[in-house]
Amino acid sequence: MGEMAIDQWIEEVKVRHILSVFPTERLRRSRWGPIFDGARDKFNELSAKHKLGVKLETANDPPAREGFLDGGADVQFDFTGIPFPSFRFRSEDRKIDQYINPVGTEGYTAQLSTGGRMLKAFIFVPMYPLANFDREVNDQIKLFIAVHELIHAAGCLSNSDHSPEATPDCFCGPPISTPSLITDADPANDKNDKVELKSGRQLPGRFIPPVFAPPITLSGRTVGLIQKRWK
Amino acid sequence: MPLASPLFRGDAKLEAAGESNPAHIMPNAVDEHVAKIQYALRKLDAAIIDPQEIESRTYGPSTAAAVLKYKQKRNIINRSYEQQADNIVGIMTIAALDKEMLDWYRRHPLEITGIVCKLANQAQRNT
Repeated sequence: MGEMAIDQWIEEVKVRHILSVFPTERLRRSRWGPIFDGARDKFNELSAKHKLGVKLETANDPPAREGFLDGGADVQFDFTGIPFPSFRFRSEDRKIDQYINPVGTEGYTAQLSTGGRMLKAFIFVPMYPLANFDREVNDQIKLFIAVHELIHAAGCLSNSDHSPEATPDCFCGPPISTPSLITDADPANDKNDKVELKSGRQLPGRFIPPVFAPPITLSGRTVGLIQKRWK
Repeated sequence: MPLASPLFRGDAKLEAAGESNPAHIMPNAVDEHVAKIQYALRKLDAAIIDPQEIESRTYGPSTAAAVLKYKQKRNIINRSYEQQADNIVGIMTIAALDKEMLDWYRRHPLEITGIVCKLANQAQRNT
């Protein structure tokens, strides 16, 4: 039997229109701490602007106590510093098979569901994301990664829901589109780090410029997908 | 027999309640084991329990009423000393809750979907 597509959060969460997100203690103490706060605020700003129907709140407890399915936070936000991150749920330690590069520019969201409804989400960001493997990316890139993963969690969205280049936004991603990290050749100019969401194109007589993030935005397509989950 | 559902197994107070009459769970009890009973009643019978009792993990009036209703519905009565259901969680009740919760977990299997997103080509350009 194949996996059932996740189309919404469990009813207890859905009726609240609030998603509680628990940043782990080690993440709070790391350089990701303020990034998490910024990502939560940015998501809420976008949610208010586009009437997404869900607000993120910081939780003090991790997801699910022993045996419970719906206790504690709805989402956990952590970083990975070792090759295989893990999380604890339903009294069991679960290891993620997918390799998450602790110095890559990537993010991972494990969606836990039953009967097609999301119970919990566990987000992992790389501990120390590097640009060209020689310096840390700037905070805007980390913010992009964090908001992107929060969208996966809040919207119960999969890779196939990623935004195409035609509607570039913070939710662009493979295999639908290929957002690229663009960094300045001079590490001193890390403030110029950005993500190219859509390539520029030269057409006869005119040039269509590329689209970058920041700013972090949501396309009408992504807005529609998230709104559908919270109606 | 040890409790088997992920919700109850290994909980010392509930395991004891499943083995011995003096260890039954009564109104005014407070702790995590009460929260587990409340959780099971909510899942199995859609019991409405006072949010304050849930928050404080207290076996208060609404929890006691939900236990009584659960037992009446299933005719859980210890005929050796009573003629009608009461609002106490004893050996028979915890066994019934455990069995039903085990079935409930089986009807709600957990699926994990992993999603990884990477920024492509760490291209170096003079911006």
